[in-house]
Amino acid sequence: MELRIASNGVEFRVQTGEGEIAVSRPDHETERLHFQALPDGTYIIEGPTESVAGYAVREGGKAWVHLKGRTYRFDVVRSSRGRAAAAPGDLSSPMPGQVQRLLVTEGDAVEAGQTLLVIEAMKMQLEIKAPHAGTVRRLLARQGQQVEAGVALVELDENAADTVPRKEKKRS
Amino acid sequence: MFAKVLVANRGEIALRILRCLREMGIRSVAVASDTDRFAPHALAADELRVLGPANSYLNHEAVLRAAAETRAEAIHPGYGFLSENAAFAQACEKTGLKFIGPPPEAIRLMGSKIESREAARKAGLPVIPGVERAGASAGALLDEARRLGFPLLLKASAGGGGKGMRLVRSEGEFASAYGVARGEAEAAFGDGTLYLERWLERPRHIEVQVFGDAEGRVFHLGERECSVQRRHQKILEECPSVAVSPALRSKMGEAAVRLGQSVGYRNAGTVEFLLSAQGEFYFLEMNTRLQVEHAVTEMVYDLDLVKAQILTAAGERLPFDPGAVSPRGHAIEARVYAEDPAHGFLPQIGRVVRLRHPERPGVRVDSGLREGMEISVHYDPLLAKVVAWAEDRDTATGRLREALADFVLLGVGNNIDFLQDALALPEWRSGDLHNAFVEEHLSKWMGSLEIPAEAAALAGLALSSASASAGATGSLVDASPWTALGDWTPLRGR
Repeated sequence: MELRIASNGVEFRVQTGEGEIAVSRPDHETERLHFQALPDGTYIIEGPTESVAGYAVREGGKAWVHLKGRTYRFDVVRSSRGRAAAAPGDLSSPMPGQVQRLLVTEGDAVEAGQTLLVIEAMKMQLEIKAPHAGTVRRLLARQGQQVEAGVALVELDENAADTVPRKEKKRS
Repeated sequence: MFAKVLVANRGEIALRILRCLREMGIRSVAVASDTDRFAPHALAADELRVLGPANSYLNHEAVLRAAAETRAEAIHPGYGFLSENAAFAQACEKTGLKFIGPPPEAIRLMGSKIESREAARKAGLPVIPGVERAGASAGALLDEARRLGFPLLLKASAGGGGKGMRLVRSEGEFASAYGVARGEAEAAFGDGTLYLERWLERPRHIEVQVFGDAEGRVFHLGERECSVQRRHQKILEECPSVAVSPALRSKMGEAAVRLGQSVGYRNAGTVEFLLSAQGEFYFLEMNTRLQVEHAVTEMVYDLDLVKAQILTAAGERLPFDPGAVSPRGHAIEARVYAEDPAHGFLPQIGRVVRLRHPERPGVRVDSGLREGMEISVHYDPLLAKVVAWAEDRDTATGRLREALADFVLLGVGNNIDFLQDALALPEWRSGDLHNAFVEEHLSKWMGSLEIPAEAAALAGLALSSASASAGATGSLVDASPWTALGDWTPLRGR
């Protein structure tokens, strides 16, 4: 079974077989490692020079690894895009939480750095700010709504100046 | 001594107190929200009362009812939740329950940052220049801000833990900061009163542990330095501070004791100071409760503050002579949070899939974790505290780093790697600490950039192996017999 996985921007190809794993990445020779799984959840990786013990689990489509004192999170790299990424100009929630306050309405012109809404989680309030000046095209969040991380909250047009001439064109 | 005590808290601190009660031979009652009813603290007591929804730990009536129904004689509030709620402490007294903490009047006075500054001033403590005007409008406060000068801090009068607090660098930032600070203060404390304080450049955060015993004596147990903070919340704390000489310790300790005496303080409390780069200290606030970081004091002074709290509330003598205690060695605490240090310390949620707590000589772990448990958005992201004691600071630092390296916590994003890297900084080693430490040295922290092939191999195994997939599709909780119990409430009062 071959997998393409990545952690912190570093991509690997991993091929698992009976007691052996082949790990390859760009500009590196493929490494063949032997492993053993112990009953307590520990894995022993027998490399060419040393053996190391680590932990690895799968959760929510991710792999979590603890090795030599560090924790790594790996995502599976999908060749075809599974889900549509947020369109440019969309502001998504960086954390799960509740929409505490909406400070803009659709059609509002906003300045770069202006607070658009406030999300609360774990008793912490986070201000979602406009990354650039523009116009609020759509407001996708409602007051009091529970949102997951990555959910689009606001669609922001790049620049108010862009939309004004367009309107004028239509009029003329 | 009390026959039975209720612990009105959750997580690591509830476990800490419940264990102490068992050691003292006192029967214990835990309370839990619906979501917490199988949490480690809920199962660690002799009896459990389930209070209701997630925010029930703040529900006075529900907690008092649980105490009455279980015939508890006293309530330990831990920290957070009801611990600094004067009305709750008062309500306990009214129903004949002992509140394990200071008198309600001391809580009320110190709970108002505005009034506590006044009390500190009266007791002869230096306070940070600022403006307190209860009931001032945003406009009036802005006028005062202009007079005081920017940058300054907007702070919640009822505040704590950095909630309802914003740094305002210029006049243009005032309106937005005011709105957010006020909203946060109202949400967290039910009181949106704000005040202004001059911003000190890179001060150290030094706090003094004070204690008032049953006989009315107030004494101190040295200082803790808690300068390493993110978002105004502490992440590394130590006892003693490298910046505090024996002479300064006496001076700050005496000031803290004077404040405690002036307000008739009893039980454990902490007087927080800012220590300027020039070596001047200013009163910041007083926390009228057990502090999260109390363990570093316990390890260096070799005593049990929770036990001392319980004995004092029961009117009994302390098991140690306050005049004879002396510090020994150095202790450092690291707070393990469910947060992403590479992305603005945003809270992380998820399920604890694999958990191995560190253990080694000189290391204490106060943890509220259990393998399989869900970390939700409902509560504070503090998961566990790892504390290392050693004969000196360098040895304690090395010991703490190694303990953190041994801490296996998979399934929920956390700051364990970040804490190890913070302890490895030369500025930590040299003790060059101040409250902008994280911003200055760790703001670009990205996590491990070198990913070993062995880690990728392990990830490949986890993703392809069926045996590693306990919870890959369903969750452990679904398969648990506990779920089949439905709405059954354990140990309902008999």
